[in-house]
Amino acid sequence: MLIDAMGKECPLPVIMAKKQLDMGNRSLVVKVDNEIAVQNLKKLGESMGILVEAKGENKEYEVYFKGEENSEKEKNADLKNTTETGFFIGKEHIGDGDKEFGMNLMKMAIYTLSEDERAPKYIFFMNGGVKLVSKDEQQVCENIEKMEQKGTKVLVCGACLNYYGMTENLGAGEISNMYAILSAMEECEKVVTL
Amino acid sequence: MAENDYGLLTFKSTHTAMAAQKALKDSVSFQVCPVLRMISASCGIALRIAVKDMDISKKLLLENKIEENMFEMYHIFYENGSQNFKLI
Repeated sequence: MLIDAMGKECPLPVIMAKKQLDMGNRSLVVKVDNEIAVQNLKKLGESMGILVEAKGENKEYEVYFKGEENSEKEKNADLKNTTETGFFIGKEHIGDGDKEFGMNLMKMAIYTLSEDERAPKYIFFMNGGVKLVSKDEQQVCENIEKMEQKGTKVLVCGACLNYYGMTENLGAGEISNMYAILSAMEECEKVVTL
Repeated sequence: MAENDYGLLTFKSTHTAMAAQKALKDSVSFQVCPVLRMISASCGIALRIAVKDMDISKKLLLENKIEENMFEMYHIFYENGSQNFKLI
């Protein structure tokens, strides 16, 4: 099946492809006009355990999704137990007021999310929020790992880690970037800012 | 005593809960969590600890001037597939 995403800006190509893949169409060709879309489509394929190949150059690319049955990732995808909600965490505390109390609230919120049978689809950490996933924060890291096992994707902004000197100290989640974070947000039915 | 059991400390006030964290910080491993709804309808900060740490936690709280009437300790366990609690 051919998807013509020429002239469509990121993250539309990813959304269009994902829709078909979710419906079970495993053999897709997506036409795009930029490298970033190619990269993001490759990432989409990887995340779903589907082989992706790209051809083309100079503003005309074709990205082939070649469905693979029973790959390890697909098996794991069936074990996912997530909602369609993303959570954005941009600071270490919830609300304004006493900061220490606010940090307690944030940790309690992350704990509560991890105890629910269904975990969030995504959790995004940016700016001060990245400090919560430092190796020193045992509770948060444990809770995050529990959710990752249920299928939650935890994206931690790389620039933010760099700014706070934490790149070597990430305790949970995966290093990500603005493009991935923003397009992941578009995949969620809703994004909640804590 | 099963693997999923744990101890839960609840407090008369959130301020006491935060003082308790300082008291336990260097000796007992805990998680900050909301009070279980089956224990109380009101919102509060609770500390989740391992069952084996229940005795030492009580000792540390009292040592740090957190009076006995300011906190309660529960043993959370599973019975017939559902969660239950017992006040210690």
